[in-house]
Amino acid sequence: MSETSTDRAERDLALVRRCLDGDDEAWRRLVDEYRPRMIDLAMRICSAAAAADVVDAVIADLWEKRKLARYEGRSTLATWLGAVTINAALNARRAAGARLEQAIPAERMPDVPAPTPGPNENAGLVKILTDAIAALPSESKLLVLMYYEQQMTLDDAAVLFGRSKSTLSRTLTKAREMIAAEADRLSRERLRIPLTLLRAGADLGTLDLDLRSACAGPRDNIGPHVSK
Amino acid sequence: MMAGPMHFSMAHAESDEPNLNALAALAEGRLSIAERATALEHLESCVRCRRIAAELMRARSRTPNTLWTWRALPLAASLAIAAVGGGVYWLARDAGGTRRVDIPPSPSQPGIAPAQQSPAAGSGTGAGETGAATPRPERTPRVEPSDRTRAAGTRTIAGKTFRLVAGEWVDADYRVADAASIVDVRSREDFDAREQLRPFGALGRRFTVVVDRIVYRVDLPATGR
Repeated sequence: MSETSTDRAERDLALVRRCLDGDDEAWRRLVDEYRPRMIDLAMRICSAAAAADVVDAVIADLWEKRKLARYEGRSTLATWLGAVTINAALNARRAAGARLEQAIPAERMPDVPAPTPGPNENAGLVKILTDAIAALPSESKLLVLMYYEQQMTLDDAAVLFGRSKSTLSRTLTKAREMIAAEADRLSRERLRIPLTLLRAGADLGTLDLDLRSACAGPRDNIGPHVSK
Repeated sequence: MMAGPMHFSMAHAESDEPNLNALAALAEGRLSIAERATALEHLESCVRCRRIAAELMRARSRTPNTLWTWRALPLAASLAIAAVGGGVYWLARDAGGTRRVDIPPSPSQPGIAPAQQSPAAGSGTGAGETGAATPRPERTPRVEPSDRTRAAGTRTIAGKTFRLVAGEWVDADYRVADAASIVDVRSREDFDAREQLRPFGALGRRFTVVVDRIVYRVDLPATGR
């Protein structure tokens, strides 16, 4: 298996070197081999038409701005190109969103129904859950975010965290219990009612649904962030 | 471009490009323990990098390694041939055991059960049957699901998209803030009485669906079916 990975890495590096040396045939091979997959990836972020544009812009940058030279060979070329593509698609989607906001001021959109305001308790619940997640220990917090916000499977999370699936499953269960306890504490502190009343019968099962909703916003709203 | 040790830093300003080499290596499980710890610490506070990492992981799950695929093709072909051969043998043996060759007519109406189409394939008590002492298991015609499974963990039924959350299908429209009214459906009778829920019965015993701004949390008993 390691030999396979090594072979693949060497093949990728050789292809990239040939591309950077101006080998047209190598460029054609790279585009033919990877462009369809890049478009598939971009389509997970934006529309099919926009995805093709994003990928063509990425390929143009790899060529004209020699961004292909940024590939360090620490992963397969396919995965690196995937990362480049997803990043570009997120940029394109954010730019499109900003253009839309400029073109249509909020006050000129009367036909769009405003979100139905739910009971105040529900807005409060989302805030409480968000704060309870933020209070988790580091790894548990990231696991909760990857699982609920990014909808990552435990199989994938096992690779990402370098831990077994069963370990992560236990961590997630423990994290849910900690969130429930912290959310209950916050509910009593802020609203003077226990979480069970706020959630109308909350248990760990229904808490799953709430966590997904509480985490849903950030996933599709890639914007300014604070990085360490 | 180099394959040696990279300067490892995940920090980036909003306008800067994330460390895509590190994210790609992280998705392939190729970072050292220290590098991975740094990367995971960054992911905690960076939704963009979380999204990139998650999409890369999903892509890797969907797309098998090309080299592996080519190496596995002969094995897969052998297994397929063995499965088809075994199936043919099983059918032939089954037909011989009952001294009958029951080739069910191709179902002109998919909803008709085999017993209605072919009495010989029924319970063995049909009129005119004398020699069928051993009841044969009914072969239920394969019914293609009316819904569309788009990807692992996501499916669409009656125009609504559902995501698998902790083993339960949850309507993508569900938001806590919208949950002005929540109805718990915990009995089969209650479920059957709500016509608006019937299209979603294929989701199983436990699911959550939003219909007309009402959240239905369906949790039927296991013996309810």
